[in-house]
Amino acid sequence: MKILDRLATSDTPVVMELIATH
Amino acid sequence: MRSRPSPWRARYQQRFAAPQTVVVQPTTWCNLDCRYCYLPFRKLKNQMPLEVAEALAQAVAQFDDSGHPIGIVWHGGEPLAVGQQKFASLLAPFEALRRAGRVHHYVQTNATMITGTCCDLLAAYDIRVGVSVDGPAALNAERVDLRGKPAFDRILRGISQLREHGIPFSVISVVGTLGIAMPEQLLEFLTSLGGHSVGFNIEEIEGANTDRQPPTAVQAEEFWRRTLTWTREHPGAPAVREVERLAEYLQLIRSGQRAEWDGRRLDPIPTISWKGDVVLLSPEFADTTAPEYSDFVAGNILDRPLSEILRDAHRLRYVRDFLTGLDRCQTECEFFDFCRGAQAANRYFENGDLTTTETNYCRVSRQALVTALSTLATKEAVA
Repeated sequence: MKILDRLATSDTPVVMELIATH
Repeated sequence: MRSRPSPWRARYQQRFAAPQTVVVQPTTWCNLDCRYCYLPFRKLKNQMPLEVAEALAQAVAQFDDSGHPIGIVWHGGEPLAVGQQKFASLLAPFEALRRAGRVHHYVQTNATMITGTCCDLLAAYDIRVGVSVDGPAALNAERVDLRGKPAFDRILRGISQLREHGIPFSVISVVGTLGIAMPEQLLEFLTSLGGHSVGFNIEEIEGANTDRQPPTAVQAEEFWRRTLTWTREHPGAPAVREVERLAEYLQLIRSGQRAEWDGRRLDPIPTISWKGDVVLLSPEFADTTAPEYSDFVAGNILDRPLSEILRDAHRLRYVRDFLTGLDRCQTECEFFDFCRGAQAANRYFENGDLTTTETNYCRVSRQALVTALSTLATKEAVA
């Protein structure tokens, strides 16, 4: 899986918090 | 029999929209001599004649009204070095457009020439300000004047004037081999200045800046990893531009708005030199000697309407080479979906060829940011 696809489906706190602030 | 439309025109229109940003060079001169500066003619005191500003205002008035004001970005050189009277005279031709909401002025300044009366001018024309400052004194040491003296105290005085007059501003920091190892110190300082956002430009090899060693991708990934961590720990701090870009991309993709992201096209960013020459794609191309591309000059607004110059952009060899490079990026690079293609100036100054793909700019400013977030996410997934 490509790196951007992994981030687009990641439910880790660091990713979820980043999106939530935007 | 009707002639067939040019395939290059179609390719150009697929990638580029009408400009929302016009970069303007009111002077080539700068009162500073930053050691990493890419501007080749920053010691020449060329100033934009009023007729060039008038021609540009007429050209912008003929742009289709997209509903968004066109950003007129006064750049440089140091744009405020022309003096307040001259600057006001260059702004005057745009005043009817500004009052009608068709344009919005921006200025990117080193802040050393900002005085109280200068702030009055900025406020009168509702000019949005960007300040170039790298960090605390020790990390701002590359920003020096023509005698080699540090500019740090003068920059802070200018920022104080902006704050006293209630003029909002953003900050851009150039990150070199010293700062790349100290993101927390940079962030603590830069977010304390009173600006609403901070952008990090990791030092690039371009224009006149060809001999220095830029930060590496490994250094950049650590920089972004620590920056992401810092911003997470300081949720009320001013935004970091690059983190916002990545957050917006992920937010759109994850919320089912891929079509909105994919539908965005690039801005050709016409840049108007002090004498009216127009370069496209990258303002860094202005004043660049490149015989193979006619010095990147697409025309002169004193000779030809800007709308015509833009209409024929697809005929320019360097634009065609860049389109080829973009196609290659899209085919070959796993970061393309976020990055949208390496910048034209970096391809040219790093690789000598606009049809090439990856640059150090890609590696340190786009790829390292993504891999930094991925590394943090992987650690959390394993924990």
